[in-house]
Amino acid sequence: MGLTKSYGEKVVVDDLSFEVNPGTFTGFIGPNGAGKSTTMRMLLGLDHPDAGTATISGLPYPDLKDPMREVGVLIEAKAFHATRTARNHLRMLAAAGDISRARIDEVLEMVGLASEADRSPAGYSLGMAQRFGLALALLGDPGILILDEPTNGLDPEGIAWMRDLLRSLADDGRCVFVSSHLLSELAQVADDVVVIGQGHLIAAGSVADFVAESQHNRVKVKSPQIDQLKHLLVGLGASVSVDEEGALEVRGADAEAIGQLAFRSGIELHELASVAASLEEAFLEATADSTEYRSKAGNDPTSSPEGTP
Amino acid sequence: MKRVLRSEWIKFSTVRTNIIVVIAGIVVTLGLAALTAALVKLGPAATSGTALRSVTNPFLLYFLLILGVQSFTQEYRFGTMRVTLTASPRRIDVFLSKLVILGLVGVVTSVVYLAISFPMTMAILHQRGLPTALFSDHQVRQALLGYVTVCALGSALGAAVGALIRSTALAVTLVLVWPLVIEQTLAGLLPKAISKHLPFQTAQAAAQLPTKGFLDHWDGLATFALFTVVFVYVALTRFTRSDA
Repeated sequence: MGLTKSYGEKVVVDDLSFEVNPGTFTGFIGPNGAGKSTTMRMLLGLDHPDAGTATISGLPYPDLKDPMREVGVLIEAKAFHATRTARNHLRMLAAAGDISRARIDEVLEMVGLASEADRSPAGYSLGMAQRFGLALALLGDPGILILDEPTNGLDPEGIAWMRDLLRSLADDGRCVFVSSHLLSELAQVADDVVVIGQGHLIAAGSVADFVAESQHNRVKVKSPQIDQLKHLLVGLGASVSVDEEGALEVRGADAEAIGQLAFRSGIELHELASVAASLEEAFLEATADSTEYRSKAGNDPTSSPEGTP
Repeated sequence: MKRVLRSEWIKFSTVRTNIIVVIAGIVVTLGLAALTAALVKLGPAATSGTALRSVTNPFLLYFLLILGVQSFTQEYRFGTMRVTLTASPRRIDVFLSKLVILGLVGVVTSVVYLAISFPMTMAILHQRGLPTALFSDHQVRQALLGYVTVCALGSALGAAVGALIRSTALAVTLVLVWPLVIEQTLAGLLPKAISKHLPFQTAQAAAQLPTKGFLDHWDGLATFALFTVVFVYVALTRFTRSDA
């Protein structure tokens, strides 16, 4: 709630407030440098906010009675001692959470690393390290999972594996909170999204609502009397642009209203179709103003040459 | 707290370099003690005090300081501090558990060292016809116990320096350069009345028979403990308040 965090003069997280619903799979999405990791560190009591509070089940993380059994965490890929074996790393954490040895073998099985347990995870490939990180998070069989970029460095197969596993964990009734800078990785599996950019909340809610609210929802209209129709639509307060095929793209008026208007004005329509935004489009649009390291030229999604006046 | 202690013990004992530093510390210091006993030329100046000094060699303390430093700097270097603090978010418990483990390691290491070094060194001195220190002497036992205490405190002091500086290279340099170079230089320049209060002079005072130019046993021990407590307090305060 009202989380704020600066490093030096740079405000990384600025008055950020959102809530994650229990038992849902929530994607925490934002471009690189948006403040996702910082937010997660504050949520876990690792970094101290300059202002605001972050709580899990109503308590600051350090006040949880049995944190490892309540919350599973993966925040840093490849944070392992160079020589300590994977099994010993798990033993060390199991001791901190008073977790049985049998559970160590269980989670190693679960992520398919049982045969690699007696060497240091520092020597794992990034994909293996991410799987091992997930084993660490699952050690206490927690009801809540907080994972920072768990798909980072995975190949497509690995991403699919991670996605399916996370979905099934959410289907078991766990609350899964996963960050990614790539919306597409989570779009198919997440129930909700929290989108941030430059430390500000951009959107929070169900994936469907996020798409619905996007201005990329538009109506495509083809007509031989395109100029006349355009004029009328602008008069209605809709914004209109012409795409490369010569079709109108209308925002701010739905297909029904456009059809009615055309009919009453005697304008012939060849095509009238609602076009839903893809999640990726919605995301790009939502974060366009806040992407920190965006190339200035070319692929700027906000300034199409035939943009709205 | 019990859980964190167990976790910290597993953390310490599953890193081979820690075990190597402990063994190397014992072996190197034993070697130095034997060499001192075999080669020292004191003539008539030799006393039971000088005999004991070849046993209570400060080298073991330097190894333990490094061990202490590493207990924190390695976690920052490998990024495991955040993992540690999500598993055990009560930072005071984590900090104190590290200190307890290191203190115990300091005690065990120095007791093992003395159990070998004391009889070995005295045997060599005896062979050479030089004065020896007797374990039955109350002051000798007190000095040996002082050595063990200083070793335990030194491990904790190293940990505090590691927690404050976070960088292995810088922290190790400091804990070696301070006693070996800076304090030696200051001890040479400053009047004895002042220099005898320097941290490692007080550590030495705690682990030897009464010697001119040094604090007595208890004052030495108390002063070194005070240095340690101050560093530990500052490090703990920073550790609990700052970002991990």
